[in-house]
Amino acid sequence: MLKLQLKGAVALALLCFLNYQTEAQAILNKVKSAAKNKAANAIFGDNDAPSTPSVSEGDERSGRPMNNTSGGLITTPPDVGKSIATAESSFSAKKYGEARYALQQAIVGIEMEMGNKVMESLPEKVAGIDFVKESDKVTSTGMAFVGLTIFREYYNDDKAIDITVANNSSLLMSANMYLTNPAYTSGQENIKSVTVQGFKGVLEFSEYDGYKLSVPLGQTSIAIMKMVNFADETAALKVSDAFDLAGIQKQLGDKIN
Amino acid sequence: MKKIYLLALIVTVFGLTASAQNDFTASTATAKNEYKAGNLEEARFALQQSLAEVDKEIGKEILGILPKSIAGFSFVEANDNVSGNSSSFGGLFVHRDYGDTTKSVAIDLMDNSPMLAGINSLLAMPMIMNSSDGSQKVVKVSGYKALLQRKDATQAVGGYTLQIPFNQSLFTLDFDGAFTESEVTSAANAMPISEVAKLTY
Repeated sequence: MLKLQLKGAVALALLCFLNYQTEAQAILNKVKSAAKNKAANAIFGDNDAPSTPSVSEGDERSGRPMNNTSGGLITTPPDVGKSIATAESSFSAKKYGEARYALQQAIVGIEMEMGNKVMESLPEKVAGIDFVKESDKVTSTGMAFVGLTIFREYYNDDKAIDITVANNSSLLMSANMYLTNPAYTSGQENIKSVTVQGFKGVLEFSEYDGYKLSVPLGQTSIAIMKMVNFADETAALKVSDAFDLAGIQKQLGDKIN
Repeated sequence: MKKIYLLALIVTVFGLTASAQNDFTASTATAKNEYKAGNLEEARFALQQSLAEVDKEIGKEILGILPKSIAGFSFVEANDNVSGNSSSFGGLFVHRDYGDTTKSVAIDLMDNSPMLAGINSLLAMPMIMNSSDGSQKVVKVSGYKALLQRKDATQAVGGYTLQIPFNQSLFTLDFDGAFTESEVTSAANAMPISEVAKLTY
């Protein structure tokens, strides 16, 4: 009788334990499922999700919301005409600080137009590689030593090319220094002077970055092209032929001689 | 006789002011015309000329508020210089000299200076900048952090250079001769740094 009672108690305990395990497993599965859904929503988006801001996974203690609804900055360049008018009225009123700021804004507006025109003239495909539209960038600060820059890149799984055109920029100084001082280029095995489309330039090679071709386009402009994974110098220089350097120079209003 | 001098002065001042106004007006008008014609580079060049004219006016105002004497030395009016550089490397430049051949102080203000980045990064690391040989350290002048450098570290008394960055400007006081550090800092504290900062903002 005692044995029978003992067996019953063990069976009851085992049943309770199994039940507990089943419940625990169910809870665990629910948590896992919720986590999976949350991760999937985060990656692929969820139209049915509530519009309240999500909470950072790694910052749940503070409950600080992640930025996921802001619209970003307005990228419209400053209005040139309005900026010039503001500069005129500020100068007449002897508000020189405001006049200067307005003039700088007008210059930014003009440089952005110049940059966008150069960008439009760049090829969409180079050496069979498409450009990456999201990477297109025109930058102007209205400040002399920073100037205007235009950037476009092309890449696939194997090769990469990018071009930076800079106008009124300090980037021009280093290339001009090499060009005006031949000792710089002849004494270094990874740098040499080249001529591309009638422009004098400097070609550099680095084991990690590949080829870099810097071509000054007149007094204040320069085009810098980088070519990654091109077989040799000839192949790298051939890439540069895809860019109309004289056209870029003309658009930037620069002169060589 | 005094009336004639006064009249000449008025005519000169008015003439210079009118000239600056004319140059600004002319280059701004050119910019508008070139922009309308689609000549963007020409428009930009003309605006840079206008900017140089504005910079010159700001420079004149700065010279107007700088003290007439420093550490007992009068300024050398003939050496006063203001330029607005429309091209690369620096917009506004203001210069004033004080003193004589034995002891002198030079003030230079460079606005839109590419040297600013270097000075600012150094000021952000005061532990590194306070050198053990006493040749340079970070000090405060009128509330602004500044970099004080002794020209010859082997001499107890010598020349000093004090560089004060603010906004996009670099204000430099160059002390040449037998100045002490306390003379340098007290002279620097007499400078209207805050007013200059407002004019260049």
